[in-house]
Formats: sequence, structure tokens, C-alpha cells
Amino acid sequence: MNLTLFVWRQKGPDDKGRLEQLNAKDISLEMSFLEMLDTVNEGLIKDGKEPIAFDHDCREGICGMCSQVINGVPHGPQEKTTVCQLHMRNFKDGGSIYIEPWRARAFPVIKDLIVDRSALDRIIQAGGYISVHTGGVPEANAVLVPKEDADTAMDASECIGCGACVAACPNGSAMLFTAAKVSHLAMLPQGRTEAARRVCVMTEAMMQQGFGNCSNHYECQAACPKGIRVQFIAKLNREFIKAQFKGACRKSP
Amino acid sequence: MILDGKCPSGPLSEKWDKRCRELKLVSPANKRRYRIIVVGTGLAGASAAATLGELGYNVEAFCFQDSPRRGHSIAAQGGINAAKNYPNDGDSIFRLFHDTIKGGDFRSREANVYRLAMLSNNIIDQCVAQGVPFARDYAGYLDNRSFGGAQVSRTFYARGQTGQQLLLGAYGALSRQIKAGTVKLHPRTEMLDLVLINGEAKGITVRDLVSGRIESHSADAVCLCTGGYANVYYLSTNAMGSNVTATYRADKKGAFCANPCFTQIHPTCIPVSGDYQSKLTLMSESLRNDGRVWVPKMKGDKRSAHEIPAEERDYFLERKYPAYGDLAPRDIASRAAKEICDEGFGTGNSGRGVYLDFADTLKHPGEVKIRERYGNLFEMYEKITGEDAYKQPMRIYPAPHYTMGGLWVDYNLQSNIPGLFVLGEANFSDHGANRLGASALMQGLADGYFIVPYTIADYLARTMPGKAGTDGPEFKKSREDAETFTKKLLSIKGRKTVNEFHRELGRIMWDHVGMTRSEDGLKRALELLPELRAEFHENVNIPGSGGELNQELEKAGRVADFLEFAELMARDALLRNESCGGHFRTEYQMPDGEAKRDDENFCYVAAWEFRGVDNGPELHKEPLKFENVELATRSYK
Amino acid sequence: MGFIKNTVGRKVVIAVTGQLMVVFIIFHLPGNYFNPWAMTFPAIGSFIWIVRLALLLSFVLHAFFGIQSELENHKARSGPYAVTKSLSTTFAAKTMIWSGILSGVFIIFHLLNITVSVIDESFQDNYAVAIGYAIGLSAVCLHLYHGIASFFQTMGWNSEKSLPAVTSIGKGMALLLFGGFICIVILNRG
Repeated sequence: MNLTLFVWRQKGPDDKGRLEQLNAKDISLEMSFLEMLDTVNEGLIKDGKEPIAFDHDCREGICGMCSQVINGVPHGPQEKTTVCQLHMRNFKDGGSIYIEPWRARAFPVIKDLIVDRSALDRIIQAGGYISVHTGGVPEANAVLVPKEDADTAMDASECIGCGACVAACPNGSAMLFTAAKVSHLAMLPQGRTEAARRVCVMTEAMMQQGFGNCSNHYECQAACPKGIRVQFIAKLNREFIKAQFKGACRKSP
Repeated sequence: MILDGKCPSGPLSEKWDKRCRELKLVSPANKRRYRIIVVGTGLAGASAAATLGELGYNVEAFCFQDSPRRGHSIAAQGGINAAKNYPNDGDSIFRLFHDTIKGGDFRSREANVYRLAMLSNNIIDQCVAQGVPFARDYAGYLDNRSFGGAQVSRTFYARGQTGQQLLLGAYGALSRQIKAGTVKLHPRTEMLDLVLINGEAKGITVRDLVSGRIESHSADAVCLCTGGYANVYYLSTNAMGSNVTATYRADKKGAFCANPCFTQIHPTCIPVSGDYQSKLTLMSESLRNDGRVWVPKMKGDKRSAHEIPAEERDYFLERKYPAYGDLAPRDIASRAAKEICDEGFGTGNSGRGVYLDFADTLKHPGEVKIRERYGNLFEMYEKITGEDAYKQPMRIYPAPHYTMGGLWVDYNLQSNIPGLFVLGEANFSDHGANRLGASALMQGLADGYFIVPYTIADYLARTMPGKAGTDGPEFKKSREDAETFTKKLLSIKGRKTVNEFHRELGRIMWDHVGMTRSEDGLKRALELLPELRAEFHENVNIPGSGGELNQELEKAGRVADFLEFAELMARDALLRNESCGGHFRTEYQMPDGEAKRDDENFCYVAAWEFRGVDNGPELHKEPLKFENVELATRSYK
Repeated sequence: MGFIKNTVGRKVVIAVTGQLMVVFIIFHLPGNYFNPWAMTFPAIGSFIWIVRLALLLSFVLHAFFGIQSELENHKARSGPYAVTKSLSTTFAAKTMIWSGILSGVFIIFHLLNITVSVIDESFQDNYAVAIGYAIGLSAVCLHLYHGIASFFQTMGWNSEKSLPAVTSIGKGMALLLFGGFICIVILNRG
């Protein structure tokens, strides 16, 4: 099939950027979306033009590197699917596709469709972990975890850190990302000790990194390729309110 | 030269303790004076950087991805082995050790493998403490599943995303150290060269992938945790960015590369659908627990799967290997699938695929259980192929997946270059000629959390900290060489794209240095590879410049290395006149088609020393001694 | 003070103050229909002033943090997408700031009109005022259409099962209140 692409091209952070019209010819239905872009890029290189820069790595939907807004939806039209797992059978022959980078102040564009997502790393660095030393830990079965809790923790922990939630949020908020990590660790007995402090420092870090506030649009949930649910944001809020009774947020640095 | 792995003497089970007692220590106050470079932030890199940082060393961590959470360990699906014996089915450290040695077809070091089995239990404890949400039973205890190459259930798992969960655990630990200031992170940075001063590893030269700047970093020791080289086949289950550059450029600086021909082809991947294909997707091997592999008994049978009655199906794995059946080790299952497809029994349009059928397990224990175990895998399969595996059998085909070979290291994980440590898939150490499922995660974490933090101190304690600065002549030359190489690549401005060369390289490797190898084929590859390499350096077209984010340039550098490295693989495969594990030479097989090992002549590690691209490498041998297991013919019948 | 500096803390303040006003509105509605009910309020004497103060404080905090959040959110975005597509958000959720401002203006007008009697035009007599009331009530309804359900999410009183129910109840409640109040305007005009 043949498609008309409108791709965001931006040389660097200081460039204004614009949409460029490109043609994708002889695209197979079995191709993945990124293989379609590979094909377009091969053509661009042969024509002596610069290929489209885009982030991608594992191409099996788990590394979280790929990041494109396709026709206004982060990761494109198929639910719970990253761009790399999206296949061309989801598009109509002769159609137009708009491809844009994640847009949020906390995610400055580096080039074309590539953005800098290190702000998400910094939210985790603030406290998105259990402060355990290597070695000197108890036997794995010494602390039992109810299956339901372990399963819920796993649901939250499936987050791949791609940032689609931020790209989809009308407020540019990273609340779903933050909530997923807070919930994952708060569900487990190993993570409870630091739960109060964690929710405070992580939400504070989220603000400092320039993300917006959550106002319950739930666009994040709809865009999340891993189906992380907004109930985890409720869980984060609950953890935050609980933390107030411990005064945890006052103590945080 | 005869290489020595420097394993401790004494009984197998006491070797590691003995070594730990002998290793020198660095005092807490002195640790912060030492700087350690860790390249790669997958399981091995992240766990090593976090642990070393926590111990008090100054750590610099590098990754080419935008975040350390994206190392390709994240894609491991199935699980991680440990000898906990929770199911009470007779497992033990010795049994895990024995299974791993046997699975590796007796081409790995006894002492290393035993240490790995010992540490496996600590890893599970550590990961649980970090909050890795492993699967649990209703009583709240950890659950286990079985895996290829073992008759016990010893695999811990977190749905189909075990690698992701373990890596997020290590990434959390790493993030904690970054916050604490003990680890400095350099994302979107690719290593281009290893810098040696007086023959010891004292730094690296890197390219900042955003600005394009080429810079050097000095340190007192360097850890390479940069994964494997399966992308030499172009199509593999590795991430697009996975490469051999870091290890190969270390090899060019004198680090020996061991057993490069030992590559693993994974039996359960989604078949290729067309020429545009950029990578292959793995379906966890654990699927083989509940699925049955078959092809139609009739050649070229075009009926759909459920139209073919049971008596007209050939369950070839169960037929050939009754004891292990569908759980036969990876290399055996892969080869059996390829052979049966080569004979014309394959399914799908290309004829390159066999069925993996869940019909029996969908009846009992039922779809709910299957969904719970493999839900995400079935979803992924449907996204890629458009087929629903609950209704029709999956089609699978083998694909390059893991590389057992890598830089040669001694028992301390130190390469022949003092100060250069190599961890995880990047080294050659623990899996011999074939890796068992759920063992890669185990090795990465054992190396990073529990081995290198001990052994690196022994090296550091013998050196003065902070001697090397990046202004010295060695660093300057390294930067100049990297600049020159980049400029040279950019100046070619030929007519073919990097991908075209890579695809061609992949075809040569898959045809001649793939799952089955022959003397003629390997010699043919050794003719074709230099030609392709020469053409690459005359005719590759890389747009853009070096002073910016340039993904084609990144790829070109990696493919240039693959083109040289491929030749080393072919040479190694040609030298090894035997079949063992993932290395199958058609000349060396049993009358029934099984691999024929030659312990008399090839019970050694082949470590290659770089002697210039056109000169051919020099071989060094490390003999393998087996004191605790009997060198038996590997049989899974 | 960590609480109100924190994004979640402020959200909790917005939610609680908003919900206090909703509770008042809920009590307000039957008061319009049954006079005796309404008459009990002044009878309590000083209690009315406590309620008035609480409501005033709620109003001020709600407006302040609501506007502050909106300004921050505006800053957190970086330019619009060429193509925008909403997946799950509603018109009400996207226009909270505008429905909020309109509601605020309406409430002030209403207080000046009825409670303080500065504006001496009743909607019974004046069409323009009646239309003003209709617009004001629509804004309040729109605001609550997102606001009531949001309260439960913000307080963390949401689970897998309750979220869809809470959302529906919140929307229903907003429509019910709108119906109740608009009837008064319509009935008294007619």
C-alpha cells in the first residue's frame, strides 16, 4: 500500500521544527510501523537526504525506547501496543499519517522524533526503589506476600517508562508513571518501610522536573501500551494522604 | 600460549570461598579514591555499577540507550534459575551445576559454573528484597516453573517479563547510587575504544551520541558489560542497537576473544515474514512447557492446522527425544526444527516454521491457566502475526538469540588485560557451547552483584589509584583514531546503505556460520566476508556529519565491527572440528544425526588474539579439566 | 507546609474544598423547594456564620489552587500536536478552568443578588437575569460533572471495581443537581 506521511522534522533543540510531507510507497501489510519508517529512511538516504531520526531498540514492546505520536495518539491507534509492535495492517491504503514526537516541557526534543526523557529517570532516582544493600538480605521465602498483592505489584511494575502517559496528558503530567512505581513498591511488604517517604519525594521530584499536575483526565491510561490503570494514581493519592499522618513529607529533603 | 583460568585449587564446593579468602581488599577510606568505568547497564552492568558504587568506589556508568533501564536484558521473558529446591523435587546446587555443564556440552569451566550455581540462591534473595514481584502461589510462597534442559522446576519468573523485572530491580539499585552521587551516569554514549596504559586498562574513548563529541574517560579499572553479538546475523532476537563494538574494540587492543563460534539459536521465535524484516521476536521458551511441537506428516500439506488429524501429525521432538520431548535443550530443538523444514515439512507461506500447539493444555488445565502463564506472549504473537494462538497453533522458527562466546576471562572475570573485567553475556565464561534457558539472567546478576565487587578489589589493591589522566598520549591517540575512523566512514559517500550491508552480512552468516556449519561453507564465508568488508569501505553511504545525532553513523560503526568480527567467528568454527552445543559441523555427527563431540582434541577454550585485520588472529588454548563430572555424550533421548 | 506545596497535597485541598461546596449545594437544593427546611438555617444563629466562613475559605482555596495548577499545567505543555485526539477525557474535564471561573462569577453574582441583595433584579422578573442563572447553573453542572467523581479519585477512594461506578454516580449527581436548580428558574419564570 501507499501512504502519505507528515513527519515532524527538527534539527535540534533550538530549531523550530516543522511537519514534512513524505511518501511511503509499496508498504507491506505485514510490516511493523518502524519497518515502514526504515523503508522510508532507506529511500531518503538513496536520495541523498537525511533519514528521520527516531528512538527504537528492542522492537518487541518492552524496552520503552520507541516514542511517536501517530495521528494524535501516543504509540498509535492500536490499544496496549507500542509503536514497534504496531503493524501496518492497522492502516488504510492511501491514507495520511501524522507522526510527531512526545510533546511536554519536561521532554525537550533532541532531533526529529527523539526526545530527552531523562526527567523520568530523575523521578526514580529521587526514591523509586527499595534502599536495600547488595547482600545481607533475608531468605527469599522468609517474607510471604499474598498472591493478590504480588499480582497487583506486578501489574504496576509492568511500566516500561516510555513516557506515553506524559505525551498523552493534557497537563504534561507524569503521574501515572510515578504512581506505577509508588504502587508497585507499596504493595509489597519489602517496600512498605519507605512507602511514606517514597511517595513524598517522588511526587516532589515529578514537580521539580517540570511535569504538570494530574487532573484526572485519564488520557494516560488510554495511551499506556502496558495497560497501567489510573487506580494506581488513586493508590498514590492514598499513600500520600497516609504519609501526612507520619509527617513524612515534612522530613523529606 | 596456554592460558590459565586461575581457578582455585581444592574441592569444587570450596573453591569460591577459598578465593574470597585470598582476595585482597581495599579499605573503605581508600575506595573512593578509585574510579571504575562500567560500560553497559543491562543486568550485569547495572548490578555491578550499583554494587560497586554502594561499596564506595567512584563509578562511571555508560549506556547507548537514553536510560539505563533499557538494556536488552529487559527483553528476557522466561525466568531465572536457582537451586532453591522449593518444590522439593530433588534439586541442589550440584544438580544445577551439572545441568549447566551438561547443557553447555562440556565446554565450560567447572569452577565457574559451580560458583554460578552457588550464587543463584543469593540472587533470588536479593531480587525479592529489591521488590521484584516474582510469581507466587496462594500461600504467598515463590512459585517455580520448569524449563528446557532440566528435569526439575527451578525457574523463578515474573509473568513473561522476568528480565524486565530483574532489570528494574537493578536499575532501582543503580538509581539509588546515582542519587547518592557514587555513580555518574552517561546515557546516549557509546564506547569506541579501550585505552591501555602500560598494558593495563585505564579508560575508554566514547562518542556522545547527541552532540557527536568524541571524549575520553580515565579510570583505574574498566568493566565491560555490553552483551552479545547475535546481531552479526542481522536478523536476531537482540535489540536493534545490540552490538559487538565495545568488546571487539577491546579485542583489537589485545583482549582475547574466546569461542566466538558458540552461538545459540533459539527454537521458539516468530517466523520471518518478508525482506523488510528488521528483527525477530522471541517467544519465551517456557511456552514449550505447555505447547507441543509438530509438523504435518505429509510434505507441503496446505491444510490449516486443525484440519490435520492427530495421526497425520509428526510430533518430531517427542518422537526423537522421548525423555525430554518438547523440553529438549535449545540447540537440539532448533536444529530439529530447521532439519524438518529443510526436508520440506515446514508450515506457513515460507515453509520456514513449525507448529507449537496448545490445544491439549487449552483443554486442561484450561484457557484461564494459559492466559495467566503466557497471556502477554499470546497477545504479542497476535499483534505481530495477526493470528490468535488460542484458536490456531502458533508458528515458530529458530532465530539467533544468544552468544556464549565472548571476551576471555579468568576465574576472577578479568581478561588477559589487567584491569579489564568482562561480565555477563559479553564474556565467554559460564555457558560453554550452549546456554540453558533461564541461565543468562542468573549469570548477569551473579557477575554484577556477587563476583566482580569481590574480585575487582584484588586488582585495585595492587594498583595506585588515579594515575591516569585523559591528557596522556595514549588517550590522545585513542581519540584521534576514533575521529579518523569516523571521518573515514563519513567520507565514503557510496551508494549502498548500512542496512543493505548488514543484511548481506547476515545472509552470509546464517547460511554458512549459522545453525549447521561445514568446512566448505565456512571456507566460502571466509572468502565472502573480506569481499563484503572491502565493498563496505568503498561503497557505504552515510548521510549527515559526525558532529550531531547521526543514527546511520552509529549503525555504520557497529556494522564495520561486525564485518571484521564475523570472520573471527568463521575461523573459530572452522578450527573446531567437532560438533558441540550450538556449534554443529555437518562432518561431525553420529549416525543418527546427533552432535559428535571430540573431547580428545577439542576439550579446550579457543581464545583468539588480534593480529591486524588482514593477518588473521593467533590462537591460544585454555585446556578444560573435568574433575567432578564425567565427560558423557550429551543425550536427551 | 510540604503538603500544600506538593502536587498531590494541593489536589487534595482542591478536592476537599470542592466537595464541601458540593455538600452545601446538595443541602441548598431542597431548601429552595421546602421553605421550612431553609428557615432552620438562620435559626441556628452563629452556626450559619461558621458555615459561611467555611464556604468562603473553601471557595478561596479552591479557586487559588485550581488556578495555580492550571497555570503550571499550561507551562508543562510544549506546543500543541498537529493532530489531537482525545481518548478518554471529557469536554467537562478539559474545560474545568473555564467552567470554574464562570461558576465563581455566578456564585458571586448569586450572593450579591440574593444573600446581600445588592443587585436588585430577580430572575422572576428579568429575563436577562434568568438566562444568566441558566448559564451559571450550566457552568456549575459542567464543573461538577468532572469534579464529583474526581474527588473520589483524588482522595484515593477508588479501586478496580469502584472507579466506573464512582464516575457514573458523579456525572449523574451533577446532572441531577442541574435539573433540580434549573427547574426552580424555569418554574418561577413560567
